[in-house]
Amino acid sequence: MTREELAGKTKTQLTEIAKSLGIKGISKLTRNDLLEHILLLDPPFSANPEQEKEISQHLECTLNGTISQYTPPPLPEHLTGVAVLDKLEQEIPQDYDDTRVVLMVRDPYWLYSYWSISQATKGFISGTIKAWDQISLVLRVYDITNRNFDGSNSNYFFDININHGANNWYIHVGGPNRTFCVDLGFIQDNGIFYTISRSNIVTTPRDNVSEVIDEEWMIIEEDFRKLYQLTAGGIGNSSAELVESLLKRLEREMGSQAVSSMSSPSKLPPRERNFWFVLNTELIVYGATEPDATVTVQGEPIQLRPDGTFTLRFALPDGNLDIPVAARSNDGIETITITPTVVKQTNYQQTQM
Amino acid sequence: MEKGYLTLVLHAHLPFVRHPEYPDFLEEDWFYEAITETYIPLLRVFYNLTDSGIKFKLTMSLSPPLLSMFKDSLLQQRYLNRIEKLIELATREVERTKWLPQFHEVALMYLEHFRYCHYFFTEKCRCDITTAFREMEASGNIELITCGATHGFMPLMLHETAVHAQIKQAVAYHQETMGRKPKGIWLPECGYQPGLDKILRQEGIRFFFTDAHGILHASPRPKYGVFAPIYCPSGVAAFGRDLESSKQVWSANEGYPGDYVYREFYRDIGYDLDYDYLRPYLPSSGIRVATGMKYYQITGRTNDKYPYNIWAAREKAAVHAGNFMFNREKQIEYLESILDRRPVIVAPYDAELFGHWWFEGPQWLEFLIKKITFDQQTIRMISPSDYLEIYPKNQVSTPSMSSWGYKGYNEVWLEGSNDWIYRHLHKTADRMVELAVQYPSAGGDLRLALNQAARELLLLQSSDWAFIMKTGTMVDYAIRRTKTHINRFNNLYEQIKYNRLDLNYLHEVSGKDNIFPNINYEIYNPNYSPVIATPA
Repeated sequence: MTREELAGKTKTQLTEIAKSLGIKGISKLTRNDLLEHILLLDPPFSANPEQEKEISQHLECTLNGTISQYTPPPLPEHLTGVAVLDKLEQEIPQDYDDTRVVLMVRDPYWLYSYWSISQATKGFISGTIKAWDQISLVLRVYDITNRNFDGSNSNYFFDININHGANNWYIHVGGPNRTFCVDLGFIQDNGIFYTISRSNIVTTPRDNVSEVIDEEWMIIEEDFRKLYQLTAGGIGNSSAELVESLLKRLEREMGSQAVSSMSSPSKLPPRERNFWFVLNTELIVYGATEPDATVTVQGEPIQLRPDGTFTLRFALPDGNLDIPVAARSNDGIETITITPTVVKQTNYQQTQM
Repeated sequence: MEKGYLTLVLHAHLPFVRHPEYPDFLEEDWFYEAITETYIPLLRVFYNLTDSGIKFKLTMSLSPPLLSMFKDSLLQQRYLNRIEKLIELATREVERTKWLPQFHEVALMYLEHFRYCHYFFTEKCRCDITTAFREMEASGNIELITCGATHGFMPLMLHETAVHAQIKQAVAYHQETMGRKPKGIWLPECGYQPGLDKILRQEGIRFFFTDAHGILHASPRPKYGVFAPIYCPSGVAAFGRDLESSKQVWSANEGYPGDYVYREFYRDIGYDLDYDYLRPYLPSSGIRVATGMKYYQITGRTNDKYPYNIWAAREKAAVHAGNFMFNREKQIEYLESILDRRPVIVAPYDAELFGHWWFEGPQWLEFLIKKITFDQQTIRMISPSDYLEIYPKNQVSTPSMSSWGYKGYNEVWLEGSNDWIYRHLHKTADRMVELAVQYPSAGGDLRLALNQAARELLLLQSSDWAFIMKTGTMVDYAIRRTKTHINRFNNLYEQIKYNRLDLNYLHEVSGKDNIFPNINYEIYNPNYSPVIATPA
């Protein structure tokens, strides 16, 4: 049950639900406390008689909709009604009423940041500095590559003005292999930047070959305990060229998107979207005889149902087709053959306006 | 004597999808289809080769969610029901197509295959496919490695503890189900960020893979490009994906799977045939879905498809295998002539490409391995750990942050359709760490609740949800799963924190999200060290 649903109930109704959940000391609880307790316990379905009809309908549909021989294993008792639980689990919190700003890397040129500001922080700022809704929020992006950042020694920074409705932002930094962090804050009337929260530190990936060409070599022992032994090696010209040509190729093909999933292939050609029309013809041959008789269709024996009936279904090609169907009595004395002849002819016509 | 090495890597993964509360569930079909179309056909190839005494070497990652679905008795039971239904359908199809010889032959092929699947699944595997993979690993022809515990995309995780838990749980579960510790890992989506290797090292992982630019942009600049692994400063080896061999298989335009004689994926009898006839084989909701029986070849960019010709397609798979081998020989000969050591070509693919998307993929693989065995001397197939035995000395360099997603970085999993999830992913990870620190060595119901909270967090972190949100099919399901795990985690968090455990709720949720039965939530405690710690 969601908070909204519970909020619509009277205290008596809430007391009922709380009782059914075994919450103790109900009489001492305020309406609000009751509501919180119920939410915390996330009541099972039976606590909500209004939905009883819905669940029985639901189970009837899903369980009785099962096809003939297909019998899934019996449902453990504690799992019935789980689908209803799902329904209670649909809505997630918008945020968690905390104050934080987080920075993430999208690629060598772009970062992504999201943030939330708690009611307490907003209240504090309103009370000590300026009314919250008069503040213009700013995301200050610091380039702190090779710095031990103390809040004031960035290589450079720039500001992004944020409106109050936003809680995330894609930031174009355009700088591969550089280190960044952001402050969420605002500029006070005296011109000084006030930091509400500082993010984690991230480094964008390279978009090209490394400028560092020192070579270090290592041997790893099988047991991983003894560490490495380093030696130096010269750069062969030919392998340097190799890396160059690989990079050229990489420029064309990087991120050729090798990922797929069972639900969506990423690299197979898309379906054609032309207009199309398919028409097929099938022939159903059915009949009945004594249950113990032997029946052949075009000379091949077929299986009868226990009551002596049978049904066959064939995709029908163009042309003339004789279908001799013979039934022979169990004692072998009598044989009846019935031979329908089917002629199928297909004309195909396509017009274009 | 060979001039170079080929490392074929198949990455097998499906998200954990299991819905005991419904008699059938559409997204569960991914698993059943993948068993019939990919895992059993691949295993069949491996067994054929092994039984005929051929020595080969493939590296295969089996993701922990996939392993846990293999192990799940409900899903096993449902797979059996499913394959029995398919056998029934194929039997009817064989009869129905009697007067259409081209289709009849294809229907017979499916019937044979479905019957084989049933036999293989029950008789050879005793309903547990991990046994077949274990047997293949024991044969020495397959090296099995692990993946992230729930295929979480690590470059977008905020907490080192959360990343560490993905790896720790993966290694533990792999060992639990497969009987040995994995030496290597397939990083989910090939997603690497500097520093990750340190954690791998702590968990005893010796090697991983990155996309080509992960190695090419490594620093210092790697001397051999992607044709030799590099050691991260932590001592873990990183192997880079070869672009050329990937493209031959993957590319939409030039890749083998698009060849016109190969089987068309989208024309399935589930969409083509009479509704009443199909009804017993469709989901209980009655919507038309793919059955797996497809009768046409790709034919070309037209809707007027020709019937599938098994033998022509098989012939083409052999030609393509020959072509692939020829290209690798030339590539290796060239590389060997300019490098001062034998190159290694790393060709990784999603396992589900083989058989599911590319129906002839397993045949291609079988031809390729046979040809490499008998028809040439330039290439030797090798696993990364065998390669490291031969070349224990490698250049030290730090790979660059990278993934094998579109554009090569994190954008597939961080863009307009899915960026909203990270607020919750990070918060739940925060909260899990908080709980693990606050309640060390918990017992009884509290422990069960903490373990379940850890499961919910892990399931929430599957990169599959963000990926599906981006690609646009089955989006509702991905959103629903994301919200469900957020809610379940938060409910458990509050129940634990306010000491109001609802055991019915806990029981219910644990019955559904039952991945990793032996999980220990203390992997989220940064101060936790197991009792039987080995001294450094």
